[in-house]
Amino acid sequence: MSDARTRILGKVRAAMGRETTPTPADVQAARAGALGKGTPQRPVWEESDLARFCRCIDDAAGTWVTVPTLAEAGTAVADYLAEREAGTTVHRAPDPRLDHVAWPGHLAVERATDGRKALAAVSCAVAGVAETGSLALVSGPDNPATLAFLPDYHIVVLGTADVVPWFEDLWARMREQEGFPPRSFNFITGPSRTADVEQTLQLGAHGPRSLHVILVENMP
Amino acid sequence: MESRAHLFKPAAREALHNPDLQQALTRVQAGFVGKRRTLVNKFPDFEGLRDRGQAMKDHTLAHLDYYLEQFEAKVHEAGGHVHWAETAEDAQRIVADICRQADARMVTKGKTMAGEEVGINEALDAAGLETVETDLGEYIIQLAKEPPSHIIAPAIHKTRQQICDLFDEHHHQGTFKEKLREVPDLVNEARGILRGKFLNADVGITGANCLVAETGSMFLVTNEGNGDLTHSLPRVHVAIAGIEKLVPTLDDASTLIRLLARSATGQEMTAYTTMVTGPRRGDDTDGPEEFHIVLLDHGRTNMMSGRFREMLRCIRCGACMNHCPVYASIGGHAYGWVYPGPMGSVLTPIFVGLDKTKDLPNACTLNGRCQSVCPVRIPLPDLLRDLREAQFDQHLTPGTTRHGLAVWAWFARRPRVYNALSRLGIGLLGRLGRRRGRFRRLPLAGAWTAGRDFPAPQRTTFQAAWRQHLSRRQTHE
Ligand code: SF4
Repeated sequence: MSDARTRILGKVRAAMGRETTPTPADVQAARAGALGKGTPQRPVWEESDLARFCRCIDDAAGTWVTVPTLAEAGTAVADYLAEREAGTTVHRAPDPRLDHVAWPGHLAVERATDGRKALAAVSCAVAGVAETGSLALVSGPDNPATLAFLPDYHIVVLGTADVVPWFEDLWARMREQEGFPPRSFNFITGPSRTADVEQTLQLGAHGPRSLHVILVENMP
Repeated sequence: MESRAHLFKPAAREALHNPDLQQALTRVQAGFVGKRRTLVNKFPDFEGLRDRGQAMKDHTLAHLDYYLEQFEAKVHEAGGHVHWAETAEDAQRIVADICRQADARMVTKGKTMAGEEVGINEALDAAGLETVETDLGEYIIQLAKEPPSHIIAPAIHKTRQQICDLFDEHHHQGTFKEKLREVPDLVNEARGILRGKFLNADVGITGANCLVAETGSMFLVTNEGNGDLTHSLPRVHVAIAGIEKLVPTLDDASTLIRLLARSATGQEMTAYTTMVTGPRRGDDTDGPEEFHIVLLDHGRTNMMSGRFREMLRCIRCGACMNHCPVYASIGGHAYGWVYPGPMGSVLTPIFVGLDKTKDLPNACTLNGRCQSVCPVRIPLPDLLRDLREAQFDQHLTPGTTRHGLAVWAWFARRPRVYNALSRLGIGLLGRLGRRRGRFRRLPLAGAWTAGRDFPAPQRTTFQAAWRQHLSRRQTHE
């Protein structure tokens, strides 16, 4: 196997007319020459980042609501489940931030270590990206990845201050954080969908049939 | 996968006369082309983004040894395994061995074109494993025992009735007869059946849309969420990716995804874009215990020197086939291997051999639309022309063409005779076709006029028109 490695790398070097791997300094210099220093081309918008973020969620067939504090997210969850007739049981991610949520008494709230039993689930996003209306979720014990994919109804809590304009901003922020990258860093933009039957769009292919974002204005 | 590209002509003929296929094909261009155009027009500087994508990929390929080594070290740091596969057989053996060591019985698969290339499913079948495709399109063609006909919409050639019949046969033992069911009904049924497979799979196999050297991560882009269920639920995750999938940094990955989502499905972002790095961490409560990445060569290093390195920029978006008039008429299967359309007509001869794919470089009108939409500016028509030249050099061009060209060359080297003869011919055709502006039938050109009309020429040769144009310009100046 390591022979295959040697041969593949050797063929790459031979094609480039060199015998050894270039040094990091050489590669950096070549990169600067090829790509320059300017920011990459990306979408721009006139409204606020938050307004853009919400509009993109709409475009992706997701829904959203704004609440002043995390405590009030509980009522928002209950309202959403009632409106969708999605029962009264919700599986919440162990994320300690969700301990601040005031869950209405009629909801059965269970802590979930994965998504296997959940019909409706609540997780926390680390950020939102205004460029595309994408939620950024970090996998781990606080927010198990399967909780975002197995339920029919996925509800995501996000602080409005955590909406960043572009992906580059998110990377800059994440590189600073301990434990980055996680096993799975999920960007979620609307509910699951397919167009594989006659190019007809159908929501709820394998993942959630609906995606709801609760934007918290004063996230602790 | 075994190539049937040598049967291109009969397959194309059959495709043109297949009413189900023709019905299905009308949808390709209607959907993809319009959605892409809307988003491209909305983007402030899409041409600049294409330039950046091209420059970024060219830089990566020129330093691929560096980035591959960096990627490998980072995967190891994250606790993952890196495997190097030179050939299809290597890749098959590596994946089968991983499954055997994991004591696997069932394998779920997300869509992987690299996997199709090396015939992973065949290898897993041979190893006695149950392998289930989980992308709905791939699942449909797995039931139909057919290869994909489009790189991002593998079942685009199937009509709803055909899908109903397949589901009836495989899920209901034929009790639904020929009933035509609605799309939500079909999608729900597949969802239910595949959910059981996801939850019971031992190994999940996916492709990767790009690999990031900076972090040792892979990106996976889907709309259904099947990719995430495939890599998150089983004990072992195996990803297969060509070595050209490398990008240096996370910022570069964002550039690539901006290009890919718009060019492929006409979305700003697919529903699920996931960055996977290694296996589950110490305190994670879900995710696979093992992560393996198979880095596939399979002929790619042969493209590294010379012109065809440009083809290694390809990000597998499918835009070139969505905009190709030949693909639109015959669909993907006639191309005979895993990659159809313009990008397939370049890749298949390189991977499978020019002698076995004679017709592919010629199945092109050189209209240039593919190149004008390619997000990484691959000069597909030029590469096809180079392949035609290579065919000619290797004496693979049919005798009639070679002799025809020899006759033409004799005249072309004698400009006076050439001009006189072409003036005569063009003038004659122009007068004859003056009334209708086109010919239904022409002597000696039956093959051309069988499928289309021949436009009547303008009664003067190009060279004469050009001379006139030049002299007019001179008098103006
Ligand atoms: S050749 Fe260009 S347009 Fe065609 S699939 Fe590759 S990247 Fe897309």
